[in-house]
Amino acid sequence: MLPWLAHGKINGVATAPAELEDLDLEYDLDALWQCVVWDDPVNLMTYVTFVFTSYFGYSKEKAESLMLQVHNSGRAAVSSGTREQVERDVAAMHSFGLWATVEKAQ
Amino acid sequence: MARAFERIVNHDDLIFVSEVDPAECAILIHAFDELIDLLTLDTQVDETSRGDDPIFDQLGLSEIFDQTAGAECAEPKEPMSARLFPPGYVGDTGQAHDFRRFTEPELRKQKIDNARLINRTLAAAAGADPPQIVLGVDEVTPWLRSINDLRLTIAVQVGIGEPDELDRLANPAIQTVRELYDFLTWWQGSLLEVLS
Repeated sequence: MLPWLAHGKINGVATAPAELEDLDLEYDLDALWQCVVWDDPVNLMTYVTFVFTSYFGYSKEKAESLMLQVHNSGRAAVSSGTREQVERDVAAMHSFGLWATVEKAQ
Repeated sequence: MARAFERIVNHDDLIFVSEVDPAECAILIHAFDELIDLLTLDTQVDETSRGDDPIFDQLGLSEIFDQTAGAECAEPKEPMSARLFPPGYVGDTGQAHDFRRFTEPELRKQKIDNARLINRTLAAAAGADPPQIVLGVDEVTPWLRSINDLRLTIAVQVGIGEPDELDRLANPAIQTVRELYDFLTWWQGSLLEVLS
């Protein structure tokens, strides 16, 4: 589980190596995962847009569209990729105070 | 009275400038100190060690900043910590636990560093004339993140988005904290507005 953390970094800071036995041998590298951001009444719409532009590098238009999707639908998938990429994105969303979760893409 | 953030090009450098008076600085520093305490304490629940800070009692913040986090990297029981460290998986407690175990310590450290950065700048501003806040480009993101963290924790107590949100304002202590929340919302919004 979370093998990217075994030798990886969060936001440029090295993390402690995980024990080998912690790694999930059934890790499905081919599956597609997505980072889902959930609506909440606290985070400003301008802040959510800022997070999507600054972290994901999305255009303002794309970021605003995703922000509105979160706001209107209660949730939006904002990125997808391997599980390790998506877990990294979710941790980053948490660092901004957005609630995000890892989901297997349908 | 605080002033909204302005975007200023100073020679070749882009800076963001605001102003807060010393009394506002003192309230903000205290609030961010309590946020740092909330993030720093991760010991077992101890109902006997409740906060006894007179200023925060007055503001009604002692209750909400009363840290009661559980064992290391267990899901926080205390609602404000739970708001800052939400689960990374829905419906899979095993995955959620592993995710928390691997990510929370670093997130916690980062949130503490951000709040400390804000308080260093606020402390310097409190002693300056005029009491200016001057942020370089690199400081903007940690500032936005930490103001947001503080807003999230206060939102739990004042019940932002809860059905009884307006009823709670009948309590003067809640009303005072709500004023701080509204100030932080306005201040964060003013910085976001001048970013681009």
